[in-house]
Amino acid sequence: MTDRDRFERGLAAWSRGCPHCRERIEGGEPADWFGLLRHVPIPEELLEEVSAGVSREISRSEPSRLEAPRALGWLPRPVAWAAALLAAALVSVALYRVSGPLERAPQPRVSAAHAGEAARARVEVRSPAGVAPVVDLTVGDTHLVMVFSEEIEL
Amino acid sequence: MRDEGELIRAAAGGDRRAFEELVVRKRERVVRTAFQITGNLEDARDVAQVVFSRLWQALGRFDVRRRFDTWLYRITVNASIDVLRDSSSRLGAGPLPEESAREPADPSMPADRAYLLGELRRVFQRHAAQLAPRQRAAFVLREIEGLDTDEVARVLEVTPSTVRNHVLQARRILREGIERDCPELFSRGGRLP
Repeated sequence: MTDRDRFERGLAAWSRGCPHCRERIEGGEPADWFGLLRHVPIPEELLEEVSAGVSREISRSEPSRLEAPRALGWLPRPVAWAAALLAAALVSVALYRVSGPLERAPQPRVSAAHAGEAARARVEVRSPAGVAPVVDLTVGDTHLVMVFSEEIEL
Repeated sequence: MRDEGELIRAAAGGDRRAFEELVVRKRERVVRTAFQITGNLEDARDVAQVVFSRLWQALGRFDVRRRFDTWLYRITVNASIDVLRDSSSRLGAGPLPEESAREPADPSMPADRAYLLGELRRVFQRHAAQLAPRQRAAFVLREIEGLDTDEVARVLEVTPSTVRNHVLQARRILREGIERDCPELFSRGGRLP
């Protein structure tokens, strides 16, 4: 039997067992015959190798895909969100306490020299002619007025 | 036996057992498609492993309203084309090796059918090497896997008219190659004796 005989016997065998194949084979277009390659048998052991290789790969990469997102996986989703928000709020408060408010009201800078001036009393004596002398003393927010007159009796 | 949609949803949620069952259901189709594109069973096995590993990483982002098989075919075709390009760059511009280290085989298949498939496969591998990778992928999906033109267009992310052009070109190249190199096998112009 020649190769051509075997080939044609093969075509006839496919044609008998598969109406779709018969349509392709008898369609008059040799390129259609390649449609039969759909029936190429893939060795079962090779398919098992695929599964085994994929399982190994999953085991290797599992932490990156599953463990990080699933740290809260046992919680219902709304509870997990609430827990995350609460944690974020606690962290913000802790940071605020450590470093103070982000924006403080601007504080006047007082140098030592200015500090000395601030503590010094301002004294003013007003004594026009014929009038009892008055001492007007201001220290900070305290305002003291003293009048010196012999005519005043307490 | 679980419904496929249910399996996909469970796998997308991180259920490893569901994913492994999905692999068992889809692996033959992925390997066969990769084999037709790369022409080598070992490459097809490696492609399938890459495809399912990528799938596992990306399944959490899969929109269940989309067609799963389209997505799977797309990943398979892209990974196969990558292998094909790597092989071409390793081997130069020449044809792909016709014989892979491992041959497709099914001991239960009648001898005349097995012989025919073996011959067709060798002829296809020899002449498909002249096709551009996307022409070859379009031909494999349309003519061998039997997807309709619109589905192939979605897989390849091109228009249906581009798919029709790819398939027409591929058929012409394959027919010319067959007529030139194998007149003894195809002398009847496709007609059965």
